[in-house]
Amino acid sequence: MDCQAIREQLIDYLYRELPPEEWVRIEEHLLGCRECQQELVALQRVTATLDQWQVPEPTRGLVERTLARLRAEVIGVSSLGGGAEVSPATPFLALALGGLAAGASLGLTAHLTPHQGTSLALAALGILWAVLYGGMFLAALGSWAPVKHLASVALLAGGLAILLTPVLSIPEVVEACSALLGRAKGSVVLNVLLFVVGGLYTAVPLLVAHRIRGQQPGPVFPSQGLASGLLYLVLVAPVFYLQCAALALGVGATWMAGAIVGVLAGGPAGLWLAGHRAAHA
Amino acid sequence: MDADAHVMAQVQGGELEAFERLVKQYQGPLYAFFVRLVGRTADAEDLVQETFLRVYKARETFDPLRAFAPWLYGIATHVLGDYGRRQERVRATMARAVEELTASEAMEVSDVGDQAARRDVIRHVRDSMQQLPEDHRLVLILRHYHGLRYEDIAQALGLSVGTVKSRIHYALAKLRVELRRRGLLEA
Repeated sequence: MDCQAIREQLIDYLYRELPPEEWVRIEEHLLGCRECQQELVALQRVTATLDQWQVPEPTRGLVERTLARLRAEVIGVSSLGGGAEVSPATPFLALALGGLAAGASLGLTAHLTPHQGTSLALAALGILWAVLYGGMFLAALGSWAPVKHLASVALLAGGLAILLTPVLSIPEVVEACSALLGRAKGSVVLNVLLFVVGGLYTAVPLLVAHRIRGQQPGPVFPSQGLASGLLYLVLVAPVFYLQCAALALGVGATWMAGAIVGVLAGGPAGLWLAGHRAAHA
Repeated sequence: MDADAHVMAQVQGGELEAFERLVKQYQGPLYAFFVRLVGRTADAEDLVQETFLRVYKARETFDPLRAFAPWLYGIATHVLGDYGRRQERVRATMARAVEELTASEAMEVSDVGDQAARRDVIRHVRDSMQQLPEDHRLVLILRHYHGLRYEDIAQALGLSVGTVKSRIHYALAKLRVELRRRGLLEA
């Protein structure tokens, strides 16, 4: 092998990128060729000079910051499909919010409708709603159990609601509620009102939940709000049924349209607020 | 199986702790990778975070039968590309970074005389690297500072092994001339 061919392989020799037989051939050549030895030394000087460019370690806490961003921006969403970590306070917060929402909702319904059930039935209805609302807030907080658990809660609650309908006098409640809100048919003002109420109904809890949850700085991904919002909407559906499922179709659609708009706006807005707050913290 | 690929398989199985191990292990090398290519240390940290986020999001696409590092640096290269597109003034950024990084590195050297000399060498090496075409610089940095083999680099960047090899040869030849011109190597 001539010197030119050897020299063309010296870089690969230095970087140990040659097959063993080539390696041996070059070693043997170098032993007897002073010019090629000098060329190798010259190349080693180049690489040794490059070696002097060392970079200091990153600042302390980069691992923690990376994992925090991961939890805030990625796992928060993927946890809806499983694998998230649980903040110890989250379930309690969700239950508290759920209880408040259920209490307010039940109180409003009781006020609007003639009470035809027993106190026990009303209490059971309250517990049922608290479970549903709690599930909704857990979904919106987005940092608890996988979606299958939430879906199970929703399905169980929905099933219970149907089974308990005769006991809870729900038909009467629904009928009265429907009669009341059914007057909205043909009324532009009432339809607009229902749309706004439906929007607020979903947007406000999502906005609050995401603002509470999103404590890490970093860009906001509206898809996070959308994902949890859609799950929230799925969980809203049985509650909607309980509250006035027998509404005239047009009026119900108005309400639901508002709810969908609320879902689309509430989550991303809450995340934006959270990110804005974190950025200025 | 590559040890890190095994850890990545655990990540695919939902083990967040395994991912944390990978972050701890590769944060330093990735940071150095970005500092050498981008310059600004603060940006480099952001890019490290962005890379790990993308790694996690793309975890299902990783083949545990292949090596982890080339896959990781492939993603890092995409992150770098996006960064370059976002900041069309990379060259200007590098100029600022020279001062910033040289100063921070100098803090670590105790002897004052050595400090100045070393700072000069680093500046010359960095400036010489800047003379290389970006794709050549990327390949050389992966081989020289991160120990990726030609095949790994080819896999990470979607190139042929021959292209990787010729870029490294070209880059070192050009650096040799440039370093010699700057007096860092004997004529």
